Amino acid sequence: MDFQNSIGLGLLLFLGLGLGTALAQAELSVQVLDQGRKPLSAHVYGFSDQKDPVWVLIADREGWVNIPLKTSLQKIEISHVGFQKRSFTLIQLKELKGEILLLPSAHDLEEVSVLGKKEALGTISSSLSTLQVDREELLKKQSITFAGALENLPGVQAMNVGVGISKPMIRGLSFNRILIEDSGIKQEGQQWGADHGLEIDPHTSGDVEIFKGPVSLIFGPDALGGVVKIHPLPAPSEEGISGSVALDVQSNSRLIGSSMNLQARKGQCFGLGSLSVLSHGDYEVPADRFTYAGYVLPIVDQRLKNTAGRQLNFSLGGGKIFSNGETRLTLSRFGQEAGIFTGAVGIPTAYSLEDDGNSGDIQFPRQINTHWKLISNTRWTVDKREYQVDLGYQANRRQEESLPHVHGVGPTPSGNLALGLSLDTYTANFSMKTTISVGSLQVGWMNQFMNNTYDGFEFLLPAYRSLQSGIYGVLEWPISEKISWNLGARVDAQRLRIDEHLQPIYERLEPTGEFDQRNPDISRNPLAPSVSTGWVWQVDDQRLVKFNLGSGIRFPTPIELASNGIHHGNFRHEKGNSTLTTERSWQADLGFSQEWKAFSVAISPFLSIYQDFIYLAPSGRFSPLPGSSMLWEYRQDNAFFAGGEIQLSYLSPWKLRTTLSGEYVWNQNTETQLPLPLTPPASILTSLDYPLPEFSSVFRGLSMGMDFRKTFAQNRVARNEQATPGYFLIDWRMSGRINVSQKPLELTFSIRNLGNVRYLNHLSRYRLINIPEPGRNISLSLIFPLN
Amino acid sequence: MKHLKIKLFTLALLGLTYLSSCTDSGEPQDLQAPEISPITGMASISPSAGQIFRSVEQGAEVSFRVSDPQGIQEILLDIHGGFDGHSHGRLLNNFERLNVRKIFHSASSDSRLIIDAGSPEVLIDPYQVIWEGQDSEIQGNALAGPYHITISATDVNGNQTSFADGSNYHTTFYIQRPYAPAIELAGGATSFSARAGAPLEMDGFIRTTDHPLSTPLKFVWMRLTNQDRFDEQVSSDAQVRVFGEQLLGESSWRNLKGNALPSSESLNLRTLAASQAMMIPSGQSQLVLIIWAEDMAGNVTRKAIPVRVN
Repeated sequence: MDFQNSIGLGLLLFLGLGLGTALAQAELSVQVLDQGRKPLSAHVYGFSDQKDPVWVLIADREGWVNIPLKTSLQKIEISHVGFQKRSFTLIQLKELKGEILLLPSAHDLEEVSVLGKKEALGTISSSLSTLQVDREELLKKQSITFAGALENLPGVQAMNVGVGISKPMIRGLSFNRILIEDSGIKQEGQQWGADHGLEIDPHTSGDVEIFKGPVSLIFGPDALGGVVKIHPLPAPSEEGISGSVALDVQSNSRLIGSSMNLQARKGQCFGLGSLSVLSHGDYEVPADRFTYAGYVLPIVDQRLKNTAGRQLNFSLGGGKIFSNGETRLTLSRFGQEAGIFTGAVGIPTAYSLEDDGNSGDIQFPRQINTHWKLISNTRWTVDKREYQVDLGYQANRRQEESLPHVHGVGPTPSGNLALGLSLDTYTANFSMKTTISVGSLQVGWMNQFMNNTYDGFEFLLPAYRSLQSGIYGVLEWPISEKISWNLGARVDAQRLRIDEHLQPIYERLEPTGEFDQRNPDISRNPLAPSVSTGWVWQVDDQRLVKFNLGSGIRFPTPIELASNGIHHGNFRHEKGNSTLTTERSWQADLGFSQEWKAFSVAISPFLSIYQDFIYLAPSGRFSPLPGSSMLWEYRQDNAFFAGGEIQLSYLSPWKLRTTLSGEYVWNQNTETQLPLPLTPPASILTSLDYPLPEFSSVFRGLSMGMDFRKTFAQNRVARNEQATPGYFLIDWRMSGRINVSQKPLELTFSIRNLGNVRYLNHLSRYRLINIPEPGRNISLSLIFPLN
Repeated sequence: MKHLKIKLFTLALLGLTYLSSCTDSGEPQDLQAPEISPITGMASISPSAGQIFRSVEQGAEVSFRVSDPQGIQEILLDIHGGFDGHSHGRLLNNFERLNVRKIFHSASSDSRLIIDAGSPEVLIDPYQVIWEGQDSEIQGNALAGPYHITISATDVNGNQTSFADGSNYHTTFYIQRPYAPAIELAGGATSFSARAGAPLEMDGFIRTTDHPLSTPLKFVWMRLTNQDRFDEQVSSDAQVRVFGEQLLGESSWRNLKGNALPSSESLNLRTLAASQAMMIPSGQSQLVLIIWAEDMAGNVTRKAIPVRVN
């Protein structure tokens, strides 16, 4: 089926689904919120004159639910775990101003959230195991990077390059198998590279939701391993201007950072703005030497030379709230300059590692990354239908700079731009959700156009243009008061055009007039369906069971199809394979949680089978390119993943909360019978949290906590990958509020790697050169309210 | 209920323990990279660490052994300039850096690079790398100075020797050329004698030669240290210390700069020692004076002179 046909089919399906929902009835759209105005995916029951409800609905992740106003409807009841149930008659219902606030239940909230379902398996609106992270919680992690702030969550890891560059990994999958959605728009950078971080600032983002498993259905291709969904900051609920100023300092890299958030509302109009700056020097490791290439090399003053970094990020937006919806426009910029350890490009020598006398400067090699985003989000409700339109433009500019190589076959280049990648992405997503007789139906149409160009004296990724489009439909059917079922299908199509790259051939530094074709013109028009189904069974107030069976797809990326050059991020010559086909995953997820008054348990195992899993395989042949080693080629085999997470929590009578989380991923290439590279090792995290008794009116809400993380050795490694020994880390933290001039000052103080343990991170790029992770780090964060 | 909780907790812990102790079943996989070692009877792989090829020598003999029980697929011999300590400086002129990249495999079009397919042992003894005259790897004049040699190998399963575990052979050797700066000690001496607490006394010259390709001096860098690490190697059992350093001129290769050179033709070591003394520390019986001299064309002559401390 060609591209035009597939689009036609998509439109037909989209229109068909739309017609199917056209049998509308009058209804009322309301949003369920808690006291802090956070949306709740509450259950809404409709009653007529019978004792049992005639229907049950589940509010979506934003708390919205469309209530059908049938004449037989007498009252509704709204319930949510941990909150008091509320009832409204039909008359009261019509007087609601679009909002229903739920109050905490009569239980002590702390008891309910020993390890609440929300923490363990996520909301009941998704049959996949999900994790919710509030913005405040995110900031309390005191991580420079967004991915770093998520890494202690069960099933989530971070792949690092030093302290300033990081990308998330979910259950052992990363790169293009994890989709990052920011304010309804898929984040597109150069996420295929091991040394390419996620260009999102935790200070400028809102709440985060993490889906552990294939969610291609709603989010599109690439979401076959999981999704990190970043919600936009909510519109301010009160008139006037408010905000906060935050200050962060960290000892290890001598980081100093500051951010400011402002929000304003006047009538129905609102504005949101944030600005964040940070600067840090070379970071310290608990080692004064490392072994590489058989030599013992120095780490002068235990500082990794040229690992300093700077960031300047901002976000500015505004919008208007209508009686039946909201619209907003947001412009954001992430700007980062990060040094790469001098020994990480080329072969490190003692000379190049000598102290340059300035641990705060950024020399070569370095990355300069800028990511601009202009995003428009509009949501409105007409009759029984809720529409959403998300439009986005992203400009991703990545510059890898280094001093020119002496190994080149051509004339020694001038300038320091080794690799410049410029990606422009345009996104347009439409969705509509409506109630139907059995529940609710959501349909959507997603479109994305990308244009990538390159520059610099190195070559890796050719220029390409990609147009991708997909349509989907998801049915949510609350079978009973306790069980809901969902089923969905999706079709995606892509039109990809990759340009040929010809590399001039030089002989004795003189051009011969001949060219080496690194990659030919490549044209692809793949089309792939995906399906998913799941059940959520809220057995009772204490027990929740989830099951999901989903399929995700991923089209081969241009880097996998057409790259041909030295990738310094991986220290190797990587070559694409234009015959690669669409990768598909099948995953079964089970989630079970149970809680008692002071004890709770949650288990979420999974099994996945990947058909045509794309990976880089060692060819056994050496690259003809100067300065490189073995040639690695993209190929695809079937692969198997299994594992899961477990969480146990206990709240002692003296309020000490103990949480034990374990995670494990096992995988295997079924063709080679070898593990896949970069598989996270098993780990167990034990956390203790204790609320300190109030001893002064100045200090409020003080709490203290400790984390004990045991990470096991990773001996299941791919060919040419090194095993990594296990380690044990202790972190300490304290947080609370200080009442200064009637305004509470939020304070978080922590010490990470308390024992200054020297350890290697299996997922760190610097692991490749045996560089240990950062040593002890003392962090202090202060947030001053501005209202 | 209490029993149920205990059972659940125990089950969870057992499950976790089981998962974390999972091992592979089936046949063990070959993940072992080939081994690169000296030819039997030789002390080291040639060229060895810090080996100097003098002006009269026109090439180097590369000798080594590679073994792997599963069979060797390819061997890579890579030689490239080490002038800049991999900070990648550049210089454009008529001199050429020696760049050698030879891949030994069973189907090579060069008969000197053919090895038996899947052989468990390959001896390269020797492979000639020529930089002057017939069969030279370069057409012009070789740039004198430090060069890195790296030997890597793969087996038939794709296992590769690496830098990370030190299974590649990687070291630095030096090529001297008659047109590069000359470093000569007075009276043909090969070492200096010194006394602890006194300044180092040197006698000799750094100068251009009478070769037609000789160019003026541009940079001189002298270091008094307790060991010669060939600009890359640090011993694991001794702290490398620099007791004195003197820089004159500006390097073309490294980010080093000092006072102006008093002459671009000839420098008297005695005069240099008098202008900026390098004191001999106590507690050291053997030191090394490393002199790095560059000319305008980028040629480097490096000499490590033993200093006996009385």
